[in-house]
Amino acid sequence: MKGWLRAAALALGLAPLVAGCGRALPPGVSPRAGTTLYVAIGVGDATRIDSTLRSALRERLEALERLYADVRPGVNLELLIFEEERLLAEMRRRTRSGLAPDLVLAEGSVAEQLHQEGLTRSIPFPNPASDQLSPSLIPFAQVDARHLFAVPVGYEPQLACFDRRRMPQPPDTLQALLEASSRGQTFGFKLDLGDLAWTLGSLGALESFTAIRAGNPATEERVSRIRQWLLWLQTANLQQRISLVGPRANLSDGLLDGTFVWITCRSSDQTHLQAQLGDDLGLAPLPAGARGQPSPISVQLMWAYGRNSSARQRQAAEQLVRFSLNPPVQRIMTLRGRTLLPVSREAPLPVASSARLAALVTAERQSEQARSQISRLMVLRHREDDFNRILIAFHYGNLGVDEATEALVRLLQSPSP
Amino acid sequence: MSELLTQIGGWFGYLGRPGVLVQLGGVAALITVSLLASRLPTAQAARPWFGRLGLLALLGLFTAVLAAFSMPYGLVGVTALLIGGWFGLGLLRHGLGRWLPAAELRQLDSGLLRPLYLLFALVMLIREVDAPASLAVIPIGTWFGSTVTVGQVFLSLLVIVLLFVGSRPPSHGLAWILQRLLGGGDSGRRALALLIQYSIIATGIVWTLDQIGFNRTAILAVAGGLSVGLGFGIKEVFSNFISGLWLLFEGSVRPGDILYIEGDPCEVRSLGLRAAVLWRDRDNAELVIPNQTFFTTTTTTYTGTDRLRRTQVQVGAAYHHDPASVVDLLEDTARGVPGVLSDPPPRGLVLGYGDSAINYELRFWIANPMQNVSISSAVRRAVWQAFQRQGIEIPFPQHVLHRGRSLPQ
Repeated sequence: MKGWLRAAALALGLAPLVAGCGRALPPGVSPRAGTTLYVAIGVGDATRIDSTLRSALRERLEALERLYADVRPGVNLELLIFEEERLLAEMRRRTRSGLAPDLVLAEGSVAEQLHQEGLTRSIPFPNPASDQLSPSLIPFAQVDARHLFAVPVGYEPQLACFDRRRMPQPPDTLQALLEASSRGQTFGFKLDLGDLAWTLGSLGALESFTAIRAGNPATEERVSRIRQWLLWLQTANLQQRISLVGPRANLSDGLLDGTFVWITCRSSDQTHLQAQLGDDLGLAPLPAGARGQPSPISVQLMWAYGRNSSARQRQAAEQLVRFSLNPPVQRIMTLRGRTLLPVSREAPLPVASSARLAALVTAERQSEQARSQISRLMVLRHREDDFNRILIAFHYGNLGVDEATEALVRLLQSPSP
Repeated sequence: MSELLTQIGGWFGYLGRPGVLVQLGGVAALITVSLLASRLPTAQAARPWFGRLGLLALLGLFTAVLAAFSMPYGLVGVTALLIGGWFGLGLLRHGLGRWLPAAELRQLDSGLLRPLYLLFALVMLIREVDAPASLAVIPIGTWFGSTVTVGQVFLSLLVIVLLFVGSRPPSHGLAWILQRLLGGGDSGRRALALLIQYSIIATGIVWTLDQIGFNRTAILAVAGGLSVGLGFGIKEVFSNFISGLWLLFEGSVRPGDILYIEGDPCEVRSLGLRAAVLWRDRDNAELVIPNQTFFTTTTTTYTGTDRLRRTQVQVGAAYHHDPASVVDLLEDTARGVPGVLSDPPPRGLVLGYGDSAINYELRFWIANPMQNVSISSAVRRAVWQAFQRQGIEIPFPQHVLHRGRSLPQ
């Protein structure tokens, strides 16, 4: 066939497809068999994208697809994995091309950023999916009183990952942690406010942070708590076997290569660590302190809707999101992946099924207890880099403890961006 | 492999989106219009780049219209870029044609530029419909105890193609530097370049296999098994390959050497893995001779230790000329012919007394064995002219017939 004939045939061949793709389905009608939904997932960094991670994510997506097929057959889920830092750029490029994913599964902060850039659709609120969520989650996903930027689907709690071969019993208090380090155990923390937030609760500084942020006076007592928190970090850093690494450093690799025995981690890090350590990977809640329980921040994974979907894809995506929040589905997904905890208010937490899951649930409960206070600090999440700069300057001695305390208080008192 | 096929099959799901179809349909229509327009008699008279620029302008306009209506336009932009790049490749080829010989340009174009561009275009298109980083980690099988992924296969093929095509210039450059440092002839430099190129390719292949993570013990075991197969199945190919390597190391046949093949001097153009390519001056033919041939047959070369060749011209002079003066004249004549070396000097010899003439031979040396015929011809012409000037006769063959008397009966 001649070249131009081929081109014409291609154009004509597409015509019938064009004819039927723009029509929306009547309410209550399920998408016909053969609807493909593209699901984009952002992961930590490029080095994490390997066969193990892909097969784990694909397995979970296929499990969801199979469950969904029982009620709505014919919807295929195609997995697209992107480096989290590249997710925004990819979404911009793909939206320009009309090839943006139908659904994006991302951390709440990323989902919010996508929405602010106009790369995802606003979701009317309330809606059938949001009715299934715990009410405390709604403010984290809200654009305004009538819209959400994404729909929460699961929690990824922060907890401790450790090598069971070298640490049979993880420390349950900060004092035990310091003692273990003096006995030769190595610990890794990240110099990142989000990652260190758990120590605010353990060391009693969380109330100071939230009170000052709320506009209450920076009393001597409150400033002193922040100062003591910084001093503890300094003391820990002076210990030979406790390392505070930069916000972009990879603690998981340190655990795998034996640099650390114990690190702070997210439940999603399990996939990567489990592939290398197997049953030697231990999970535990973060240690409490003399002044209280830890206050870790659980990451909320959310579904966001892309802008280029056809009417069928849009409808199928909305139905899938609603389906993924059904209590039985949430429970099954939690038990299969063991990295996500349910957000549905009706879904029971299956603690008895494994020690690891029990650790996840405990970590999530710690996070939940601190959530009311942490949520008051959420407005500062755009200033996380400023906080981290102060912590890094303090860590390297560019700021003394009094200067760092003063800088933190000033930042907490500054107006919201 | 099934996972990869499933993933590729999933790309077609985008065809359900109106925005994608409008872009693809528009691009197809514009290409069709451009092709039909190029067949019009008026367009055929115009320069070809006029039609190409027209297509690019149409694609650019289509992109602008889609953007103005807030519709997706990225696919049209990418298509325009790729088509523009292809046209640009043609311009690059045209430009390189001024600097490179046609044969080398053809090799560079078909061996490197076009494949690399097509690969680039493929990656660009895949990047549009999929996430290359996640596509690259799809396993497609287990070979030699290692799980091999799409990315590894792609990278390996790219490295190997680049090694085969791209290793030539650096190896020739390195050989040229070594020649300058160590001395040596041009044929030695070419042999060295080939050896360096083979070394780069071999190292690259081993590195690639290592990067993929092939189990070395398994590879050795398989190589052992293969060697038996090689012995029976493709022993000729293998034998030629080993012969080629041996010849390079030994230096008995190297690119640039002049060999005598079936009575004709031929220049070795290249020494490949399987065969050597020789150029025959007589009829501008290229001979492809399996490397093994040089091991089993006697080879005559004029370039073993130097490139000099001693050649000769035979001539006859009448009996009444003094042989000493004829010999002097022959030697003086040869010295004046361009291409005949003065050292070693030309030498005239009296070969014998023939039926019609005294036979002489003029022996002389030339620097380029491939010019034997042309220089010999020039010497013969010069001898005839010298004899003409000196009045020396080149006799025709003469037969004296004596009629015998018959005895009376």
